[in-house]
Formats: sequence, C-alpha cells, structure tokens
Amino acid sequence: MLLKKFTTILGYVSGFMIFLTGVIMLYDVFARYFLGSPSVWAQSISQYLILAAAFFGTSYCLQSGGHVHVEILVDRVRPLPRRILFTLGYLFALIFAAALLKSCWEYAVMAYQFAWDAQGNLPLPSVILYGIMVFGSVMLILTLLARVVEIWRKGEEKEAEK
Amino acid sequence: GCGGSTPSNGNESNDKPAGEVVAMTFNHAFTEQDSRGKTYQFFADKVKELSDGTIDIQVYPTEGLVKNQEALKAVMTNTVDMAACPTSLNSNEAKALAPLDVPGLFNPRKWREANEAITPIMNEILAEYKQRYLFATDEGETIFYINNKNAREVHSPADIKGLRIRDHGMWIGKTLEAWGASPMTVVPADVAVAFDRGTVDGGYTGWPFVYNFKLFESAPNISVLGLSNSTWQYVSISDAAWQKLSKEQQEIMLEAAELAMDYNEGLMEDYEASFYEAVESVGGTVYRCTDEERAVFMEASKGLYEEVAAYSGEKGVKLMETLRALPW
Amino acid sequence: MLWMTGLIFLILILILFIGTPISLGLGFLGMAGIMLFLNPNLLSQLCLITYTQATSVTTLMIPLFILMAELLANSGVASDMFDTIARKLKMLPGNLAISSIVASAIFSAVCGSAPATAATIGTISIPSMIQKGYDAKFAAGLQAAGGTLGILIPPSITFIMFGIITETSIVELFMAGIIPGIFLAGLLILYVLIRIKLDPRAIDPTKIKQQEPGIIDERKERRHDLVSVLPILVLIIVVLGLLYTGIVTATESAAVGSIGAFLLVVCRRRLSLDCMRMTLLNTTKNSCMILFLMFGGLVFAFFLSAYGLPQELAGYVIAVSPNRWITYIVVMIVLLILGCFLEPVGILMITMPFIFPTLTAMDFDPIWLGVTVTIACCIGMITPPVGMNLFVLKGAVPELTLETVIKGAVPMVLILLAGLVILTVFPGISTWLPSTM
Ligand code: NA
Ligand code: NA
Repeated sequence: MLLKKFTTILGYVSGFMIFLTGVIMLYDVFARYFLGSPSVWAQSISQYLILAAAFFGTSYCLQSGGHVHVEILVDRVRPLPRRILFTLGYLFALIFAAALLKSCWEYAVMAYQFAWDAQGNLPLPSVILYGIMVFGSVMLILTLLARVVEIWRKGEEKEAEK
Repeated sequence: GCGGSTPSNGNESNDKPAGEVVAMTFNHAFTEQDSRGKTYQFFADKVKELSDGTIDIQVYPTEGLVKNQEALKAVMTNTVDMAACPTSLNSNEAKALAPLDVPGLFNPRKWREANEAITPIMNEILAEYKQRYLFATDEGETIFYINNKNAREVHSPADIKGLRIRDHGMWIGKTLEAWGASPMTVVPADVAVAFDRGTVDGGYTGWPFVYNFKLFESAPNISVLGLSNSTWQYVSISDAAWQKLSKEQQEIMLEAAELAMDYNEGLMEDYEASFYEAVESVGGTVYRCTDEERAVFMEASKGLYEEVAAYSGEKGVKLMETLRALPW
Repeated sequence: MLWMTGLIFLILILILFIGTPISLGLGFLGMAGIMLFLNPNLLSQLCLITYTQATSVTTLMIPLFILMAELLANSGVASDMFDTIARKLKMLPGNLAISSIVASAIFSAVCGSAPATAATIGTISIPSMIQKGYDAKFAAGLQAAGGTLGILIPPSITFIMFGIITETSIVELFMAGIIPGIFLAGLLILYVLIRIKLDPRAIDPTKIKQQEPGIIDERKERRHDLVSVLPILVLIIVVLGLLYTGIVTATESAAVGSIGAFLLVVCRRRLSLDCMRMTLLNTTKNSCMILFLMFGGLVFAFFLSAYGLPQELAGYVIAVSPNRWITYIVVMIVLLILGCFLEPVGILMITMPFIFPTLTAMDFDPIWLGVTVTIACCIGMITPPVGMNLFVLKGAVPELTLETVIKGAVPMVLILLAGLVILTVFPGISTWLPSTM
C-alpha cells in the first residue's frame, strides 16, 4: 500500500519532469531567436530530466499496467497455470531488472570514484544520474515483487469476478 | 582455441608451434569506407599478417558494439578490448584529456609529431582507466562551413557574430561562444536537414566530418581556419588485453600502429584533395584564412586554456603544455 | 545462422506469450544471449545502453509528444473537435463515420501513437455512432483503422524509433508521412461512402437509441463552432511549419507542441485539476512504456548485433534473393506476421537491425522504406491476436466486445493493405514532400 502511494507520487514527479523539459526546450528556442544567445545548459538539462523521468516513472508504469504484455495465452488458461506462467514471466523481468540494477550500481560507484561528469555542455557529476538509475531499478524490482505477491494473493478473487 | 581439432597429417614443416590465437574486439564509430574506418581495418589486417595469425582483431564499425561516448568506459570494463575514442565524447570522464578538445593547441598538419610528443603522457592518463594508448588518426584541419548568404568568407570572429553554429561537445561550444557565435546542438541524423533548412547558419569542425556527411552540399561556403580539431581520435587497448600478448606480440602491435598511421597519412592526402574538388563541383567557395586571421581567433579563445587547465587537473596541464611547446 | 535466428525468435515468442512485460522480456532475452553466447563482461553494457538512449536528444521528443496528446485528450478539447466536425458534416451520409476519420486524422497530427489516437477519438465517436444506429462492428473497425493514422501522420513515435534505429532523418520521415496519411484517410472515407451506399445494414435507423441524458448533454452544451477546431489546426500548422521551414529541430518541435497544447488548454479554460492529474500520470505511464521498450529492445538488438546475426542474415538474404522486389515483399510479409503479435516499436526494435541494411544495400530509398514499414506496422495494430488499437477500443468503449472490434477490423485490414500496395507502387506519394525541403 505504502509502496503504491510512493510509486504514484513518483509517477507525478516523472510527469512533471517531462512537462518541465518542454518548458526548458521552448525557452531555448526563444532565447536563440529573440535573445540572440541560446542557453548552453538547456539541452543538457533536458536530457538529464528525461533520463530521470524514465527511471522515476517506470515503477508507476508497471504498477498501472503500462508495461504492455501479451495476454492471449495467459488469459485462456486456468487460474493455477495462469499464476505460474505469470510468475515465470515476472521472474524473467526480475532477472533483467536485477542485472540492470547491478550494472547501474557498478557505474555509479565508478562515476563517484573517478569523479566523472555527464556528457553534455553542463558538467554534472554522473554519479547523480547513475544514482537515479539505481533508485529507479530498485523501485522497479520492488514493484515487480509486489505484483507477483498480488497475483498469488488476489488471483482467486479476480477469477471469481470474471 | 577450443573445438575444431584437425587431425595432424605429418607434413607440418611450415606451421608455427600450436600457438593460442588471441582474439580481440575493436569498436569504432566510422563506416568501413571512412578514412579512419579503413585505417582501423588496415591495422587489424596488419597485426594478423605480422603475427602470423596469432592475433585476431575483429573490427566492429559504426558503433557496432558500443557507442562512441561509452568508448573509454567500455575499454576500462573490458566490454571491448580496443576502441577508437574521440576525446570530445570522453573528456567528461577522463578529464585530463579535455585540453585536446580546445582548438588551437597545435598545428593539425603536424599531427604525427603531436602524437609522438603526447604518447607518454597519454599513457600516464589512460593508465588510471586501465588502458593504454596505441595510435591516433588524422582529424583534419578545422573549417567553417556556412550556408548563410551574408557570411561567405570568415575572416574574423566578427563574421560569425550571432550566427547559429552547430557544436559537438562542451569545449567546442565554449570556443564558439568565445568567438561570439551562438552554438547549437543538432543530432547527427538531423544535421543534413538542419543545414538544408537553415535551422543552423553553419558549422565548425574538421573537414572530414563535412565531407562524410556531404554537408558542403547545403553549406558550401568553406573557410579553412586550420586549427586542430576539437577532438583527438585515438585507439586504446585495455590493460587486460595488452597483458594477454607476449612481448613479441606487443612489439607487433606497436609496429602495426606506426604502419597504420603511415597508411592514414597517405589516405588523407588524396581524400583532402577530393574534398575540395567536391566543394567546387557544387559551386562552393573555399577561403583559406591567413596566419594573422588565425591568430586573431586563437587570441579570442585564449581564455579557455585557463579554464581547461582548471578542469583537467595536473596531468591535463602537462598534456596541454606538451602540445603548446611544439613549434607551429 | 537461420537455425539460430529461428530459435531466438521461438524463445522470444515463448517468453512474451507467458505474459512477461514485453520491454523487460526483450531485455531478458538479450541479456541471456549475452551471457550464453558472448561474454558476461558485456552485461555492464545494460547500464550504458540505457543511459545513452535515455539521454539522447532524439529520445527527448517521445515523452514530449505524448504529453501533447494527453493534454488535448484529457482536457476534452479533442472531443469538442469531433462533435464540431460531426455537426459541420451533417448533410453527408455517414457523417459520424466520416467525422471519426477526419477527427482521427487531425488528432494524429498532434499525437504520436496509434492506440492513443484510436482511444481518444474512439471514446467519443463510437458511442455516438452506435447511438445513431451504426453497426457496432462497422463503427469500431473504422475507428481502429482511423487510429492507425496516429503513427503515419507526424508526429509519430514509430517514425522517431525508425529514425533512431536506422539513423534516418526524423524530420524527413515526418514530412514523408503527411501525404500518405491524408491519402489513407481519404481511402477510409471512400470506403465509408461506398459501404453506406451498398450495405443498408451499416446504419440501421431502427437501432437508433434514445438519448441518454447526462454526459452527452453536457458535451452538447459546449460551443461547437470553429473555435473548437481552429486552435488545434493552428497548433498543427505551427508545429509542422516550424519543422518544415527549419526554424526548430525535430526535438524542439516536440517542445513547441507540448507547451503549445498546454497553452491552448489553458486558454480554453479546460485545465482542471483532474485533467492535470490524468495528464501527468498518463504521460509518465505511456512514456515509460515506450522508453523501456526501447531500452529492452536495444539490449536485445545489441546481443544480436554483437553476435553478428543481422549482418550474416542480411548477407545470406542478398545472396539467395533472386530479385530485390521479392526480398521486399518477403520482408513486408514478415512484418505483417509479426504485426499480429507485437506492436510497432517492438517490431522495429527486433527487425530493423536485420532488415534495414539489407534493403538499403538493395537500393531501396530509406525514407520510403520508413513509410511502407510504418504502414505495415499500422496494419499490425488492427490484426488479432495482439492489436493495440483493438484492445484500447474495447477498453475505452464499454459496450464493445473484443469480438465485435476484431470482426469490424477485418475489412479495414484489406483497405490498409490496398493503401500499402498503392504507396509501394508510387513511391513519389511519400518522397515528394521531403524532396521539396
Ligand atoms: Na501522429
Ligand atoms: Na496485430
């Protein structure tokens, strides 16, 4: 429950970041044509914001059923095999998310050790961005686990509903 | 290697003792037809030839394995064994390399001398990232290529004042700003359209880029400023891969590197001539800035040397001083 | 090589069919391939592939165009547009059906996704049609097809993805999609006129339902004059015009579009708290869906490419193919079959690394390929078993069953196929506009 609330808040944050990106880029166009001096930072900030939006928002996306999946087979089998198939599918997803987390963690550590900056016209310590990716991956894993638990707990009720 | 064992047939007088073949991967961003793409393949072939096939370098063109901006990290983590690394995309990580991104530190026509001078310090810098410096390729002299009718020839910073000039990295952006232009980022896939439509007024980079993407067709007014390009394109190999090689094999790699640079020089002479021919064939103009005009540009962006020194640290300063000490 | 390719696809289908989220499933398969056939060291690439793609300037425009469509859909501006067009076309036979196509085409010019176009217009158009006695299958199928214009008329997430994967100019792809999009819309309208003339059951006057008070009345009370259509048209012209004239880049046009849509909604006093909430959450949901599909797909593509499958397969196809057109037709058939199971971004991620180098090596025009491949993807959106447009319509319009939607979509598949053939035979329809740039 708490996880769901937190994930939804992240969903709003992510959406707002996308909106902010639009504002910043539009300002950049305006600055180029009307102020005669494009901002050096706008492009970079926008790029960082979209990365952050993707990773802040992905757990909300999963929670709200946004990460599309093929349902034709699983919707046709009986509850128990259905749950097993779903669990297996989520297991694959979990393995990928875990590998992503591991990889992001390693880069976050390296970025910190070597004081890397992010690519772009605005030097920003990369560890912040890799850190956001680590955070997003953790949230994705937690949400995946929550979904699996949900499938086993609520599966029967949903079947009855149908 | 493993598998595929062939039965011996007695007559093996020519064969080397069953040496392990060292297989390596080499990632770069260019096409196979590009001067650098050809050079890297030449290098791989040469290494194979000189080592009697005991070193097998598989070249992946067009960022086949990793993106250019990941090259330094990819070699560091042994994701690839070798990679062509442009400093303009990696100096945010190996900050000591940043001075190579500032145009005007050395004469690009003398890139072989520059390469020789910086090899020790480059190895010092790259050691921290678990890799070693092998060789570099010619990035050409920098040119302005302008599609704005009002600025056919660029003689001084005043001629590009306020023009939207495409940049490609932080230091080139800062340089253009220092010259009074408005730097603007355009993704490579849309560069051609951006020039065609006048989204940008021009660009500033080494001529090979302009040639490869046929940008002179939509921005045909060329002014050769003749500074070093805002990137240094070098090949590095991971320590892990280097240590897999015997002493003799390492020598072969270095020998092949020299031969590859000779080959690259030859290629670039023909290539440069055909570039200027191509510009003229589309009705473009070519203006070559005088030494005095170039000096004005260098003076205008001189402040960046201090800035890049502060950014790139002790080793960066050493690299910068090495380059500035070279005769023009 | 062929065995290996076949095996990988088989495993992919298996992984996807047990309900794994497509994005993460693609990533998993790519990762497994890296571990088994390449080098586990390469797994560190997962972070870099994702990071590089997420911070790419081109990727930026995807969430921005999604934001633009969500603003117009959630604020009711889109529904006003449909009601107005329907009113203006009142004297035409089948005015509601034609309006659903026209409104879809217009909404397509502000929305980059086909299901979003189908759902936004379909939520309003299908109930209106059913109420006026239209055959439900006819109404749903038509709207499903109309929705596919979303990825043909720019902006289009499919074109953006095609441009990213194949390094083709997105601006030129956008321009190339305009005329084919209008052409397909025309084809659909023609179908409506013929169908209504020939098939009296298409609109059955005895099935006209009594007006339900409430929602519809509230919509009726709004103003239905040009004021409700004009601002959207202006926004479309501004965005495409800035792009065509080169005042802004493709990425910047997305910012102009999304913030322009925001201002439009504010000016029409439709920015309720609810609209803002829905917009933010749906933008997040849809953006992350596409972005993660991209990330997972790129991991998969990285494995294929590092393993050398696309290159070898392309060489093989070129070697055995008797004729470039036969290769092209085979490719289109493969895309249509994949379209039955996957949605466009997934199809592009999986196939383009193989197919694009092969076809361009055979001298096919990249931009024209972008258009025809996208239409093949359009068809996939309305074919069962997996057709996003079918699903969203079933979800968006409670009185429809999936069966009705699917049955209604069958004739539309044929119409779109006819369109694909015509656009293949006359490449100029696609390439003329970008060639004037
Ligand atoms: Na569209
Ligand atoms: Na389908």
